Order: sequence, then structure tokens, then C-alpha cells
Amino acid sequence: MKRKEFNQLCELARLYLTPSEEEDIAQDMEEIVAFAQEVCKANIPDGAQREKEEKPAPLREDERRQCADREEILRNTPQSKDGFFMLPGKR
Amino acid sequence: MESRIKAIHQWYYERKLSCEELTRCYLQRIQREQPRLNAYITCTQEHALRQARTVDGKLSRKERLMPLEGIPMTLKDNISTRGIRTTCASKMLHEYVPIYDAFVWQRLNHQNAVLLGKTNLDEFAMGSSGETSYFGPARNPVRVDRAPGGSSSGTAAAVGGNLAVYGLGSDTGGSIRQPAAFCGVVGVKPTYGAVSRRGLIAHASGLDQIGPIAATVTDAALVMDAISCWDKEDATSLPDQRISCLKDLESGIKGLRFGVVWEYHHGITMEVADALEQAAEALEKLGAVRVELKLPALQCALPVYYVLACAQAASNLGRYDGVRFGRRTDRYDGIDDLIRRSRGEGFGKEVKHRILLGTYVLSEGYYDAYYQKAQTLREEIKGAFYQAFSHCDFLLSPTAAGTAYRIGEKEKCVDHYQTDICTVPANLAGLPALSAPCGFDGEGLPIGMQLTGPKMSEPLLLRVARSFERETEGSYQVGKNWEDQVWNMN
Repeated sequence: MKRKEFNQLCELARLYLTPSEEEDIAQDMEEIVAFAQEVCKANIPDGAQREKEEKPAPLREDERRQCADREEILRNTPQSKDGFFMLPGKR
Repeated sequence: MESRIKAIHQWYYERKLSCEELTRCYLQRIQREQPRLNAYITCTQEHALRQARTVDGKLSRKERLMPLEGIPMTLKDNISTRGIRTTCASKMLHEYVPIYDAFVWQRLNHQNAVLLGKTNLDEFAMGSSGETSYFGPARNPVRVDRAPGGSSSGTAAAVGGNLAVYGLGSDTGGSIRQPAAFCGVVGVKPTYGAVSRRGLIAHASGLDQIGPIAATVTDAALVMDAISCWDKEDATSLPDQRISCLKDLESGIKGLRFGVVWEYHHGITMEVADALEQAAEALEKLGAVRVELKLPALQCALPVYYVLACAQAASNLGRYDGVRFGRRTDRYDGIDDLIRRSRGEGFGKEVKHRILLGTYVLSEGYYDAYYQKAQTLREEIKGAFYQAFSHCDFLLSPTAAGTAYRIGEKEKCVDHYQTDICTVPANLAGLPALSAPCGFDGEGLPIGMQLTGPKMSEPLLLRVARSFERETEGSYQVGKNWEDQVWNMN
């Protein structure tokens, strides 16, 4: 994997890596992707018997109901104000 | 011993000890053994004692106990517990406290299960040895220089080391069965959909299942009966399920056919091969009939699993952005930078590997060659199992190719991936599978045999495991001096 491709991948994954992590993980990804490439190379065998299709999972009724308490939900966020999640502005 | 749970209930009824006394014993033992085994992340002492006193109240009124009532147990720390920290062994969720209980915990809490604490695991259930935990690895109670397996490392170590009577783990590619094999205990991965995933912090939603880890087959069956039922709040939960694992547990296996699949024996050690052969002979002695099978579709199961699991994991872990919960960086320049740095600081190395692989296989230009192809191969694997079960009632195989290895021995991540080779096929096919102890290697480390069956065949698999356990007089159970240990604790 070229370095440019690796950096794009980190961007897509929304992952910040330190310079030493980049070196280390980029090298690991060479082996990991090589391992995953076995999927691309595998042949698809012919004529396997299948189970008959299962019924899709039932959907619940589209009805309004009480969800979780707002204050409880906000308890796990680092910052909240007036019932909203607070996000910092640009520094 | 047939059942530790039943033995404990008998002691309660005979007033030999109270639930609070037993709970205190386990809590003291956890405190003593924690530096050595690191099985727990959070100990819930007050909760456990409160629950124990409730049970003692019922006993003093001579009320009958529910099947799992008053039994000291543990939950893997990716199962949500309202008001109790649930970390997934990650810096990302180091201080996260869920606002709701997982369905399985609701079921057990209803039975006044005595929760001793939340057990250690590989970070976000991504790993096969316990070594990726932010809190340091759990250790194998048989030999502490060895990995307990993963990702349900702490749960297996706790049950094997008598720090809990049973526990719940989760299994995406073998994470209940492999640590159960390494620690010499019983672990069950149910049929996909048999046990609700509501409240299980997701790794790969199309593969994850919660299941029991226990010291004996009967105990595993008791827990399965308590947790497997339809949950209307989980769209993947199977409706109309009516399985009872306990009902025919002692019925024997005469006339059942078991398949031995050649592909499962690739790369296994001589000791594991010998133990499996002896297990096969024991099953034949009990009246089961061996059938040799070849399933070539299984040869690509491991890379197929990692492509699909990592794709699902990359999607699931997208929610950890430092906004609503989890770690938020304090160094950032705008919202995008806040998200990237929070994730970079919060996740460990193996989690980053898997997010990156998952992102790669889902990205434009690679999706068809990797993800789409893996889905097609997955269907072939399902078909191969379906075909196999027209020739036999269940499959016998090793749970792992070897026994517990030294912590730190495997440096490359792909070497860790290889340890899942026997377990991932059942996850890909959505089938039930369990591991039960069937031997020891030359260094006294446990060997596990894996039984895999058609959908909803958990009662049959447990019946087979129970027949084997009875035939071998439980000689492969670890902690055979369990009763003495309990009385010495008291």
C-alpha cells in the first residue's frame, strides 16, 4: 500500500496517527491486506446446497414512545449546555 | 461435579452457608487473585452484597429459588450494565457508564444473579489472547505466563480460576469458545439470533452473539435456558424459539452421527489431534457413529471472516467520535480534528488495524473484490454446512489448533488471526457451537473439543458434551477441588 493511499485510508477512517504510529501501522497493514487478499484469490465452488430462505425479521410498529431521559443521555458527554451536546468552535 | 449451581443451591437450602457468606468469599478471593490473574476490570462489591442479602431474605422465608438465583457470576465488560462502568477494555470508554441494561443482564438480574464484577477482554472484543486490553491482559489460571485466550479472556479466566461460578461472554469469531478451551471450561456460542444482542456493545453486528462460560456442561445449559428467548427490541432476535437445553441433557447420544471434517485439522498440534481422536472414540463408545467429511469451502473461512468482521466493526466504531460519549481529546483545531484525535487517542493498535482494514474493503475500487466477494463466499460456507448436516447430526473438531501460548509470544497480528481458524466458520454460518474440555497437553494445559450443529441445536450439542463429561467422569474439568476451595474460602 503506497503511503498516499494509507494516508487517505486514515482520513476516511477518521483516525489521527502519530508519526511513529504511522510507520508502525503502515507496515502492519501490508501484512493484513495481504492476508485479506486471500478472499480475492479464492474460487467460488459450484453447486453448493442452500438452506431455504428464512423469513425476514419482523419490523415493529412505527409508533411514538418514550425514549431515554435527556439528562441521562447527556451524562456521558464531556460537555453539554441547555440540553444539547456542546462542541467546541474553531480555535 | 455435575453442577456447581445446583450444589450451591443445595448448600443454601441446607443452611450450610448463606448467599452473603458465599459472596464475601468470592469477593475476597477476587481481591487476592486480581494481581495474579487480572480477570476483572470493575468489581461490584456493594451491588453483589445487596443482591446476596435479597436472596438470603427469600431463603429465610423458605421460598424456592429461581434456577440461577443467588449464584455469584460475572459479565464480560462489553455487556451494558446501567449505572456500572462498561469499558470494552478501551481507553475510549474508560469512564463510560451505560444508561440501560443489556437484555441478558435484565434476565439474570430478574433472577437475583449476584454480579461480582465486569471482566476483562480484548479491546472492543478484537483479539484472541486478552493482550489488546487497555487494562493489561488477563492471565490463564492454569499457568499465569500463558494467555487465557480471547476476546472473553477475563470471563474464562474468572470461571477457570474460581473467581465466579459462571459468566457471560461474547463470540464474534470464537471469543467464547477459544478462551473456554484455553482455560479448561465450557463455552457456548448460540445460534445467531437465539440470544438478544440488545446492550452488547457492537463489534460486528452480523456475527456477534452472547453466550455462557461455565465450569460444567449442566451449568452452561442452565444459563442458556435463562438467556435464550425472543427479544422484540432486537430485530435480529429469532421469534418462536422454544429450546430447552436442560430437558434432555442426560438422554445419551446413541445413534447420533458426528462428522469429522478434514479442513478443521489443518495445522493442529499432535497433542490436540490425539485428544480429538480419543474424544471421537469416546463418542463412538457411547453409541454415536463417525462420518468423515470434506468441506473445501471452509478453506477460505478465515480471510472471509476478517474482511466481513472488520467491515462491520469499522462501521460500528464510527460512533466513537468524542461527541456524545467516550474519550474527547483536549487538543484539536475544529470538529474534524477533534474527531480524528479523539479516535486516535482512544483506540489501541489492534482496533486501529481492524478499522483500517474494514474501511479499505468497503472503499471504492475495493468493495467488489473484497467485501462483495466475501459475502458470496460466506453463502458458500453456509451451503457447505447445510450439506454436511444432511450426512450427520453434529460436527466434532478442535476448538483451537494448539493450547494456550505464552503472553507476548505472537508478535504479528496475523499470527493471532490464525488462532481463530477452527472457530470462525460457525460464526459465518450463524450456527451454534460449543467448546468443552477433552484433554491436556504435556504441560498440563487444557485442550478443548468443538461441537457444531444446525441452527437451534444447542440442546443436542449440550447433550453430547454432557454424555462425554459423564463418560470421562469430568476428568478434564479444571478446578476439581472446587468444593474444598469454597469451604476453605469460608
